[in-house]
Amino acid sequence: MDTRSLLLKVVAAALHYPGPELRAALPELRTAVAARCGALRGAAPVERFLSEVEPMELLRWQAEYVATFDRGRARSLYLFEHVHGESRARGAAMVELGRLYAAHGYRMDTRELPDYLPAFLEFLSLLDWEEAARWLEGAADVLDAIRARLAADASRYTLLFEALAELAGGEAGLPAAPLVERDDSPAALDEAWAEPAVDFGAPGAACAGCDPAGPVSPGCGG
Amino acid sequence: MSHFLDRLLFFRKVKGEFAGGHGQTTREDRAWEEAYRQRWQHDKVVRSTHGVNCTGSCSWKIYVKDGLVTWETQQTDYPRTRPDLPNHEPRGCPRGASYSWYLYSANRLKHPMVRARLLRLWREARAANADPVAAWASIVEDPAKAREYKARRGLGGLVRAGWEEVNEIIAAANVYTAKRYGPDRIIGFSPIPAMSMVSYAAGSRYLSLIGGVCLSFYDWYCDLPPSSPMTWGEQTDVPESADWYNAKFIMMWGSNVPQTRTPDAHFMTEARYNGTKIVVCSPDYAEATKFADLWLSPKQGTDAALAMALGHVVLKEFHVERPTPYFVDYCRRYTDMPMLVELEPGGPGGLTPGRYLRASDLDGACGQNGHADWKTLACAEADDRIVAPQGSIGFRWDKSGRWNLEERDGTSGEEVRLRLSLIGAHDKVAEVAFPYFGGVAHEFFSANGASPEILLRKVPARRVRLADGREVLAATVFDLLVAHYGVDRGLDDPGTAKTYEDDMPYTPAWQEPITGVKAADVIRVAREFADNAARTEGRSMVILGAGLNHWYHMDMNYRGIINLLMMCGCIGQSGGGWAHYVGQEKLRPQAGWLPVAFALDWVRPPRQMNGTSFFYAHTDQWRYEKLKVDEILSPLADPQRWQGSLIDFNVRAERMGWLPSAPQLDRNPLEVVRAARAAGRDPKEYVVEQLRAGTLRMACEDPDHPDNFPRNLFVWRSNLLGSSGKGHEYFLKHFLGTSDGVQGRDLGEDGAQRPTEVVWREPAPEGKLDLLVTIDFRMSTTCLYSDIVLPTATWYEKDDLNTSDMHPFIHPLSEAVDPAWESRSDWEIFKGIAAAFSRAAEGHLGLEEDIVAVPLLHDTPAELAQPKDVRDWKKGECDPIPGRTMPGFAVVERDYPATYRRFVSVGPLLDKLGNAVKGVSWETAGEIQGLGELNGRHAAGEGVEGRPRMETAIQAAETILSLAPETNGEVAVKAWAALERVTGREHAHLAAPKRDTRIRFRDIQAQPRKIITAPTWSGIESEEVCYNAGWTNVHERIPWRTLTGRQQFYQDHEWMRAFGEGFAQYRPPVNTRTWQNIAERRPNGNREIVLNWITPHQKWGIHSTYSDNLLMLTLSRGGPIVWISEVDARKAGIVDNDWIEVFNVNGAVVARAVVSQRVREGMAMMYHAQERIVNTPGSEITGARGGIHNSVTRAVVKPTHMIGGYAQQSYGFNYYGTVGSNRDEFVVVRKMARVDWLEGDDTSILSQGYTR
Repeated sequence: MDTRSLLLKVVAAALHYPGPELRAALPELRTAVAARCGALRGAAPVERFLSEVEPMELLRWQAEYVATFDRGRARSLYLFEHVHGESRARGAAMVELGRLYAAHGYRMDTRELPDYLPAFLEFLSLLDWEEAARWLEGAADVLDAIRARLAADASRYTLLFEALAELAGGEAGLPAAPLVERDDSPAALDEAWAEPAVDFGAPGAACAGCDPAGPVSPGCGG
Repeated sequence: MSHFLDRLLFFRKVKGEFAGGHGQTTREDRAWEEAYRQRWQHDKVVRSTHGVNCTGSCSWKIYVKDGLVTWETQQTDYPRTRPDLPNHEPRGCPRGASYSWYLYSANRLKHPMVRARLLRLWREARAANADPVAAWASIVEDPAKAREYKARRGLGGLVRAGWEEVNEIIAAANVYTAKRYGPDRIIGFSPIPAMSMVSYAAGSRYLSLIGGVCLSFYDWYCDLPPSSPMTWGEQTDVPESADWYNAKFIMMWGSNVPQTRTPDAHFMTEARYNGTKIVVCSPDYAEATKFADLWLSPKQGTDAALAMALGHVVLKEFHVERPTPYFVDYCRRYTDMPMLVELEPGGPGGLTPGRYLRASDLDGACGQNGHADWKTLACAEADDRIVAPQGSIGFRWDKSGRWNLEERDGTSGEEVRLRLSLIGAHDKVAEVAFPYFGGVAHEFFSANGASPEILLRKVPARRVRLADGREVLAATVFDLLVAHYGVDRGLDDPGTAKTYEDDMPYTPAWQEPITGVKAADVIRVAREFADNAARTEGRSMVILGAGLNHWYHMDMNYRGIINLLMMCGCIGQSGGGWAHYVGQEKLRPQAGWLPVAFALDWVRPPRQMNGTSFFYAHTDQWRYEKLKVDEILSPLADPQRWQGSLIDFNVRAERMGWLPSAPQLDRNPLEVVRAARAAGRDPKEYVVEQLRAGTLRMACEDPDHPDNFPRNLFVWRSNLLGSSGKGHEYFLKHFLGTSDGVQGRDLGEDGAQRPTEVVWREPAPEGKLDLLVTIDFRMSTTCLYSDIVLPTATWYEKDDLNTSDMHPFIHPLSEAVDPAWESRSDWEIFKGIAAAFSRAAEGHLGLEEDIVAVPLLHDTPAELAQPKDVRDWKKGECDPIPGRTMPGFAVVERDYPATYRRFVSVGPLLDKLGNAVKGVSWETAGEIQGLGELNGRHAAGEGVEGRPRMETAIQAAETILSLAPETNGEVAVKAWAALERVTGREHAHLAAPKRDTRIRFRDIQAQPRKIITAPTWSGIESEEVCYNAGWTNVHERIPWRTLTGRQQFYQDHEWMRAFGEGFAQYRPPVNTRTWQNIAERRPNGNREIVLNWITPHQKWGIHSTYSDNLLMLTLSRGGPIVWISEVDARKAGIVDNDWIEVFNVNGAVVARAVVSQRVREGMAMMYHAQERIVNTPGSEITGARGGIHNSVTRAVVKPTHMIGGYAQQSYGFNYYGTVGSNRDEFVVVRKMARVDWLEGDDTSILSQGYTR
């Protein structure tokens, strides 16, 4: 197995909801990364992530995971949530992705959607690296967006996305998508929510609704 | 010859161009089109619908590809209507069209979730205890541990868990609670069973098997119009929307049809094209207003004044001056107008309207032996003799077969024409006092104080000698009604109006200062409405809704309008009548559903509780009550006799058996029976004796005692906390025990007068609930506050049944795809809980006897319990007699370890006791036999061997369909035959042609099916008329289920009269006193204004569903909004889209302002329900995240809704009871100084610094 594929596989496992099984496998993952992926620049953040979560109480880790990924769409681990949002194009896109897996001889064996990022990454780890890299690069926009949002919340899961960025691009070391300083002033909020005037037929007019990084729920606590 | 050979016989050359160069033929590769074709390809199309909270019940096509739902479109294959009537399709709206993305959206609940703190405690306890019940006890009995997880409710920290583990926690909690406190401390709340009735039944079946309590919703949502049971003895029965097309004059009154009845609105458009006149009545320029030929804009909350003035004109012109033969005939046959009312002492003139005279009041009881207390009297036109006409409620239960509306003497059976007015046959013109509330002052509503609070009117009356020797005066309801409306009869009455310009109640001129509607418009509308009804025999219709019904005095708004319809003979006529479409959503196959839903096939009776009184008591909203009884009492009532606070009246009602109780007794009912048996006593007698002695008490007298807390609550198919929870912040504080936004002080802190019937405890309890379990498909506000959240199948992932009041079809929800992730259908979820419960019960609960208190129920003989006056046994006014002066008691045997086996099989009680609905019963053993053949039978299992299976949702659906007359023609025939025995009339023709029809689940998956006419409902399904309520009452002469058997203008119960509502009239909104103690006290530098708080149904969601859907948020403003008028905005320095805060003593909510010409000055409108989970910043008042629309409300109950044991005013689940009104509320509105999004971890939200 290509060491890059191996690292991808480790990230896929670590991005999934932490259960007793994953927890028990942490030493094995750490050993594998240290022994075989050491040369990769993406290995360091993965190792750091694994060593950070290892001493945590499982319930605490799980609560952190739920708070990070299960509450709202901003950091959702479903790729097309970011690409298609609530558009009905999402269904067709998922069907296409499922067919890609099938074309390579794989069928999803859990009750997960095809665009679930850990599943997608595990699939890529099974491909030739050349092909996997192409797909990873294709998903880079979404991965960067998630990484930026995680970084803004100082989440430890940023580490895993840093590794993905390293694997995807070779443009390692670049900071995650440029982060704007948070501005909650009424004026800034108004600006963020303002809708551009509709301009029928103006050549090159941008479609505001298609921006995957568009307005997202700034908070969903209660 | 060559010519012929040159010509092609079979081909044509493809030309490069055609159509004069406009078309071109090419041979390029078109493979690229494949991508587009695939885009719209699908493996299958499945029929489903949207299942809880929308009246639409539209059938949809769900497209599935590779096991994924890809999109949905509207179905268009409804059965055709008859010629001359538009078809039903298309039905649907943008909300429904955006549903499929809930399936895979980030808001979808994917796994069972538990609060991590609770799970940690549970796992520790479970490790220390082999027994799960002991483990649960070790947590909740330790105050520190209980506090630890309860205080975290709503503050995140949920983790995923497996089904087995969560089911065990729930089962352990339920077993512990039933054993320690009693099964009636386990509560369930789920609304609107008509939409996905199997899912509702799943939870209610489980609860009913174990003795838990189901709460009603219709009253709590304030969608129940108590005026309907009062007038007709029917919860709600309305025309289908297609019948709008048959109307010739429609008033849309407080109902925003295109916005909230979107799929039905086309009938309104078509009716307009067909020439129907439309009058819209709405305080704001609502979307419905675009339909209007004439728009009336009364000030919000004053609709009753407008209705009274319309009634004044109709009575004067169409009944008194030029009596319209159709109206007079209709009112004589079908309303209480001819009934005689005793004039009793009271008021300055000496007399006031009292009770209806009953046969038992007369010597010889008019020849009536059975139930003479319940037979009302009238005067024969021919010889002025007093008769007990057929059809009053006494005849319903006396087995005489004379319960019908033929115009006959109930004793001799001879035809008799009743007198409407005694004028000409009167002995005296009496001066009768009526209460008047139009002059009651309110700081934000204009009173008309030109008249005193007691009005004296002249009424023709005759003398009647009673059996007790008294001679009294009696008048007809018609004469009293005309006098009450202030219409002149030529009796030289200075109290009546001579012209419409007289400013006297209830003339068009009188209403003008109150409503702001021009008197001339009132006169015109009244004339046109009545004139149309006279010409068309009743084709005038009023569509009315939440805008009227959510006020404290909703009965007055509604009865004012209903009076108008009855005066004009519109009820029960095609194209006419009362069209209230709020929330009830007719569960058509009700008789089939009831046994499944409440486990009547295994144990009877079930425990049912009226939601409003339950929440009022147990969320401690009563501790903050500011409305005093003397503020709503009639000026004719003696205040000394009507002491106490609102909860005192509720407690008295529970004690007298009027309203149900939950929890019921202040001890565990299982232990009570055990104690009775140990003492060798009959448990029922034992309970009555102990109650009388005071050694046992009803739990309602001490709701804050820990023994009487509701301990476990299931919420499914509902967003109780995020949508419908009036007094939201009180829920958080007392029910849940977590951080809340209550700003006011309770009566104890205020030093105000406390209730007398309930124990006042200090400090007020917080965190009464031990376990809150919510079942949903999305992360709603309620889920955020729950201890355990269970992911349910969406409306495209389960099999279920749907019916609506808007159309006559029954159609399914279908499992188009498997439930995604770990979700399961409600049926499977409760099956799992039942199985875990059965296991956990072993060793704790076995065969147990439970004693169940049952209120005096409508549609049973108990509705004849308390005929004349009100007596409270606790005060020694009468003996405690179960089922008569107090609740009935029944001993029920429960087999706890068999709960699961019973859940999944049809039990033996149906074979033995038969089935029934609304007082009509029939044997149904044949259907059970058939079900065994259809569903299969259990091969083994103690107690269930040979019983029909009900393991799957489809088997449950088949059970419902087999048992209901609406879907099984054989049952319909039996049900009509049963009713024939009571009415003594032939009704069989209504169902006979459908005798062989059996509607099965696969049939409705093929196409929606029209139901079969059944006695459950008062309309018929036919090829001649559309479904319209009251049709069988008028055309089959079946009485309404009221005291008189007729539609009632008059309500004679002692409490109705004491609170001034014998007749409909205008009452201004009550003063809820919510803003005075907080306005201008906590300034933020911006100007404050006070507005009326109006929470109508919205355009971008169905209640809270879709309010978190990005598509709908994009169409709206993307978060919570409050609409205010341009005038108010100017006053407060608010511009459109500003962040504003709305607050009062109940709490606070933040939102953006929509400043619009649409809105009337003085009102703020926040569409309910916009949840606190989307784009809601922190509040400057509470310091917590900005609340919901119900953060500024508190439920206020009304004594007249507590009446029971009195014909139509008897309790029924979702039929009668207190209602959660919320429109009389006022709020302070101001621009926010600082918008804080409260980012950060969950705990930091609690402690942000900036508050005012």
